[in-house]
Amino acid sequence: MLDVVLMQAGNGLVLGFLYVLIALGLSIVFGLLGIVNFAHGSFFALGAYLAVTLVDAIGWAGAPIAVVLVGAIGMATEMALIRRLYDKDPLVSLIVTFALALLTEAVIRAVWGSAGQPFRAPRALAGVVMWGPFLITRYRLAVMGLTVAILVLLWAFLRFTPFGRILRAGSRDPEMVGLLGINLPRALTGTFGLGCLLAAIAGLLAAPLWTVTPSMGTAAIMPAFVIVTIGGLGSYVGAVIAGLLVGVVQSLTIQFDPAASAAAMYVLMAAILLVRPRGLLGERWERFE
Amino acid sequence: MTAARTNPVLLIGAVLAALTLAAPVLGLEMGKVTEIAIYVLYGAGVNLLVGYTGLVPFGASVFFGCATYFVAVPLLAGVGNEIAALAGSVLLSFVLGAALGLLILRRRGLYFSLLTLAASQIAFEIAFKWTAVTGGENGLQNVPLVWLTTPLRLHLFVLATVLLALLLMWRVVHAPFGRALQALRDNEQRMQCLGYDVFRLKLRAFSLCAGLVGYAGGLLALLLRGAYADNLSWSHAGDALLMTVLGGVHQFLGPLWGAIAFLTLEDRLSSVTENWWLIFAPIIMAFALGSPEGIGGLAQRLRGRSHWTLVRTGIPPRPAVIAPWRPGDAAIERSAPVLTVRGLSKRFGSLVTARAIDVDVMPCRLHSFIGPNGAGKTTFFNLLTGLLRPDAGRITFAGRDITHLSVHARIRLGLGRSFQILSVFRNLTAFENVRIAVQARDMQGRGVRRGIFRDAYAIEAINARTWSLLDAVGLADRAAESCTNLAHGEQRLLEIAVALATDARLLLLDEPLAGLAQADRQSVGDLIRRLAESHAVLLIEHDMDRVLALSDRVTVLHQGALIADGRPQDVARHPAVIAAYLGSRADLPVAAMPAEAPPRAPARTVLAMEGVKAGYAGSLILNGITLAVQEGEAVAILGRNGVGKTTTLRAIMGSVAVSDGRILLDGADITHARPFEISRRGVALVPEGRRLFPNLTVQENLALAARPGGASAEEVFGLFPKLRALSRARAERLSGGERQMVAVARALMVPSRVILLDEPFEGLAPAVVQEVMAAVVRLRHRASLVLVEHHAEQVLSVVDRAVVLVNGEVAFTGPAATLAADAPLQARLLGVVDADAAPA
Repeated sequence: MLDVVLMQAGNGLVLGFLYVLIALGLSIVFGLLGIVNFAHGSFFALGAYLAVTLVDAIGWAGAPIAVVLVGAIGMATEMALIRRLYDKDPLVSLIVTFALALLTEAVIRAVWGSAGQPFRAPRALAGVVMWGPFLITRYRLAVMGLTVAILVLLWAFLRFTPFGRILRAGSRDPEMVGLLGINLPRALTGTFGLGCLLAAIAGLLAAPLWTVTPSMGTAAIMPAFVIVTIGGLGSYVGAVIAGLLVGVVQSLTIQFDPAASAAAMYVLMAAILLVRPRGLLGERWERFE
Repeated sequence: MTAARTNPVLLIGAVLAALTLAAPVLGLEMGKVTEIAIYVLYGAGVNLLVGYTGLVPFGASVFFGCATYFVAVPLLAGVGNEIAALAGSVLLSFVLGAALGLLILRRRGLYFSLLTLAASQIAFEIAFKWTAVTGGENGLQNVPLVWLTTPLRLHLFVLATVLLALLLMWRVVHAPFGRALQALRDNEQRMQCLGYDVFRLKLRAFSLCAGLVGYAGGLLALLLRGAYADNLSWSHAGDALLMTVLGGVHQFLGPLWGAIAFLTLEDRLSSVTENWWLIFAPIIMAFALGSPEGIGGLAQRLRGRSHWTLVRTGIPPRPAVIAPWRPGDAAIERSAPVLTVRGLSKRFGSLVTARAIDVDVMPCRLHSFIGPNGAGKTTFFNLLTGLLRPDAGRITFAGRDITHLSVHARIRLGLGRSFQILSVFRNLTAFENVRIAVQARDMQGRGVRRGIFRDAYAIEAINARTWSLLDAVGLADRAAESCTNLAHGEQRLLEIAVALATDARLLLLDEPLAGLAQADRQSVGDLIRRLAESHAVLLIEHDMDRVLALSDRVTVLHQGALIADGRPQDVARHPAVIAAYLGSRADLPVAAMPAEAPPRAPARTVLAMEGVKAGYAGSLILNGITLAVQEGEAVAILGRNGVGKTTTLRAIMGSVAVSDGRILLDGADITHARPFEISRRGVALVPEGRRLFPNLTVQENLALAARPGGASAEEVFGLFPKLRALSRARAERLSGGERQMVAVARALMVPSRVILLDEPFEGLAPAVVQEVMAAVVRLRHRASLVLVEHHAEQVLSVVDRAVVLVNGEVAFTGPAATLAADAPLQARLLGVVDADAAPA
């Protein structure tokens, strides 16, 4: 019994780390741009699909190319579309990004077809690792290691680089950032690209674990929203805790009550919001109150 | 046609009937038209929240989808018939809406949208997985029908009842309740301050939406003869919202056009390709961006007259004789204070905005609060009305402790207020603005039914009082105009009419005279005076002459503390008051600059403004400012509150649009450059309120601004030794003086030609002022300075020249020493008492 719980908890952590990557991108974009991006899941799906295609074509070197490509697509999307939403009613940005999500899904269906795409983890990562009571596939272990590394890198990036400073400052007072001589429009484009890049990494890593299907984007967006809400807006640590929490809770409910697995995270969210209306580590944010 | 114009439901009926008849010609099945009718109601229900209440539910599908099960489950079980099932689904949806609303209406804006979406997704998961009841993946099929057995019968039933439901909705939005929702959409805070319980209003609207949408969902179950989880899925969550936006959220007919376009396009496109979103999504995006008012708005634009059609246009007829306005009988005891405040304190971080204030307000008096910028006057009002919670102290109103009451509860006890920043209902007519305020007072405690079904414009007593108020402020001729079409001055008058309409026992007026023309100041001043004869009035005002002339009593605040309280003529001569306004010689900085600047090469103009006009949203704040700043010079921009000092700096920085004139930096035109470009050309700003990034450390705040050529961190820490120790502290932990020092230091991190400082001493204790002053003086060696201040005396010793603004124009410009030496001139341009108009 206990080993089943531990194993599912381990799988839950893997799932959770992937969620964290998606949710952080969403949260960063929301914080600086003030846009709830319904299409964020699309970039997750796009990352998986491009990885499948490129890895097929040129081998594993294609994986990083796919990720960077999605980041570039994200920047282009910001310049062509998202930019027009900044001075508009939030209703417009909801509608437009929602339509963008459905459009991307349709494009994926048109290009890759509706059937799932097979995608194998690299052979070096096949097999399982036994460690005391823990039993986990080698690939999941690698995913966990990689996401932790990315999260640390991202944290350092936000913390110590000039761009990270602009991001953190701009989430509180974007106008003042501009008044200090910083080219804010360019920073916004970069931020959107960064968010998409993170989603694409998650897509790439998830591809061997989940089936690569056109609807994987929409399947990822709700957990991401829930995690941002639970963790608290703008809190990096909050998003990490919430992501892992949701991953573990979901994995455990799959084990014990599969029918309730998808609803579990909403119940978790409702419970947390009742106790802490701003989420676990949410700060009061004048812009969004 | 006229009937259709006054009642759009008839038009909807006509369109749907025509569509039914034309369906065979158009190649539509009748079922498609039935579906359109159902979605019109679905969209209209959603629009009750979006267009009327200003709430955006992204997951209203929760009601739509659940209702299909509410109908299908009992019918399959053989319980009841269609009618009973439909009635049940409306009831259950209503209850579901109320329960859900209680949970999620506490959050606003995007949170609310996402929480409704989450609700729909929970419902989807339950419907999808709870196979025993919902049929899970396959859904429920072959629901037996008892009466509506043929498609035609069902179609006619749907058409008839949908129209009835829309008729009901059309009635509700014209009733006091529906009208209140529309005011709530425009300005929630104002509604609270009129005494409306906004949470209850929203909850009722949300439940009503749930009921309407639930009925539509129930009908869909009958049409499909089943219920499917798909209606709750993510990709259908936004259906009704998309339709409504496509049709136009500010048109009653929007959902009709939206549903027709959406469903016929879906029908046509899906017959061409399974992947129809490929074509449909770009259409939606183009509409959302290109025509925010949807199809309805586009049609209006083509006909050249854009307006909202959420309710009937027009207002009740103007009575032949408008009864003159007369304050209501406030019925207060004249001898006891109506409001007692003891030890009231409030701080924001390190900034104290109320320091143990004790004050009594007597009835039938005009009691004014004055004080320099940042003295804490508006904070005091916000504490009284409950928009802010005090850290300590007690507020007693009419014998009752109201310290912990909610805003609307205080208002209902008889407190009323007007706002310093224009706070009206932008999209309503002038008449409706005032009427909603009169209604607030009249409808308290009346039955719910009257408020929901009765035509609000048929309540004569409320109309009559509204006309009297409009007439009193001189807006009766403009009553039918939409608020957006009124000039700024007229909107201010409207604001006053709204405040007077509450007929509060104690009325708080926050700068009611600001932005009014001279003649209007006179008439509004008279109105306030008349009101004060039978009520208690608390007034915040910067027009000192008028305050001293009007008031019975004056209280002076300075840095959150009460420094004087008494008769106007005594207060005006109180030394502490004069010091607060002009700055006393006692707090002159030790580190003052030598008055004689060192001789230098012929002056070069660094920054020049030539006839600059600028303002916000239609009101002009700068009325042709011309000034020049020479190389190495320090210039102070002085003036009373609200004359355009900060706006001048904003115009230079490019953060407010300049409508006329130009601004030159080293001879190059920067009038329309973007703020970051202006900053890079060498204009640094130390903004009002510091505006540090609270989540960054001191060191990060400085590094963010740093550019090659500016001071290094070491240099800055050399200038401000105190900051070295604080460099790792987050800015939100600093005291006011420390923050100001960081803000000044931040301006040094770039190579600047000019540094603009906006009220650098505001809210600082005298000792800290000296410290910051010393910091400012150090800036003089690096760039030209422009310093905005209302404390003349404080800065005149450190600048070369002074520019005094009066009402957006330059009233004086000359050497600082000249102004410093000319006390009468100072008093006239800046002082408490206007020398020409001082009361005898």
